[in-house]
Amino acid sequence: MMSLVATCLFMVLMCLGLPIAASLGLAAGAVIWWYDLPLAVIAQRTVNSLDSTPLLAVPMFIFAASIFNTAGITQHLFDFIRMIVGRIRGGLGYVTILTHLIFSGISGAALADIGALGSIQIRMMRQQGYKDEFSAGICMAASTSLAFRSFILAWAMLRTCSLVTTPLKSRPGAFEPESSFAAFLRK
Amino acid sequence: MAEWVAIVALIAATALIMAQIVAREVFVTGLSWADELARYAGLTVIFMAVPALLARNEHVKVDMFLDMMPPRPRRFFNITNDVLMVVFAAMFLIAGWQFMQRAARFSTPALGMPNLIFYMPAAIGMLLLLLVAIDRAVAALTSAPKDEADAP
Repeated sequence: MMSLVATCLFMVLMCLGLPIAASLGLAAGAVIWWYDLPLAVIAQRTVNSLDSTPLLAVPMFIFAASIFNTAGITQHLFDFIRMIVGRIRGGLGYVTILTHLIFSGISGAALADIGALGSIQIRMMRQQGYKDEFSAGICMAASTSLAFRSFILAWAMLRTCSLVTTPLKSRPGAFEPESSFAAFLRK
Repeated sequence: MAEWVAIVALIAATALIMAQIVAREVFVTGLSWADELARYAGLTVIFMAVPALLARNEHVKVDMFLDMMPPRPRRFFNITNDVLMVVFAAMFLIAGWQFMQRAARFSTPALGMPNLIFYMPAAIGMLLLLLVAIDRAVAALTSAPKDEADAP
């Protein structure tokens, strides 16, 4: 009941356009106040959960991605994949997804992927006459699904086998982690 | 101003983690204080960014439904959201105050930094958030007729 109230309140506040952080905080605060729990919990839990070393890695991933970008590594990666699958119809979509696949092996963070590759890819797709919505959608789907793949990557490292050789037959924009996961399981 | 503090803290966090890696890999010693200081810098980044982002109106939010509304209810919800931000900041400050009644006596493990200083970025950030939110709410309430004239 308590979590139901909190979740509903959060959804309503978020849909009304309150910033997401504040709507999370207010929903939690309202429930805590309503059920007579100590309000001090809010300050203590917020600060203590933000006080984490893994969280510090996020800005550094983005930093690393922008170093890659400036050094031209992403451009080389992009050209390489384009050489392989670029001739297929709709090839740039495949290129986007495959580049994200390789890059996620390097960084392992979804936001860093978008930060590094998104700007190049969306610019190139726009030059080739792709719709903006479509290219943004592909970038989002490819990079966030790869957050899931970084988990598979850890597993692949444990099994000491290569993940990049996994056949990837999915259409661009399709929900592809499952297909490549299935392909990985078949191996 | 808050932005500059956040930038310096971000650079400090990066430098501290680099120093930690160098100390670990090259000099084979651990810097136990560097990790805590880096996390403290990370906290400073987060809580200084909160008011700075509100001042620029760049917090992550769902504006899809707001954009679909006609101008009058949209303006109403914009004002409501600013007032709710004030409530949020005030709630956090009260919570922090209550928490400090007990926690201020203790200090952090590695640095021996008093808890009062450790929670200071959160308090300052939320205080700034409160001020920015009040400013925005007052501005939204007083500029009512002009907004309506501007609205398409």
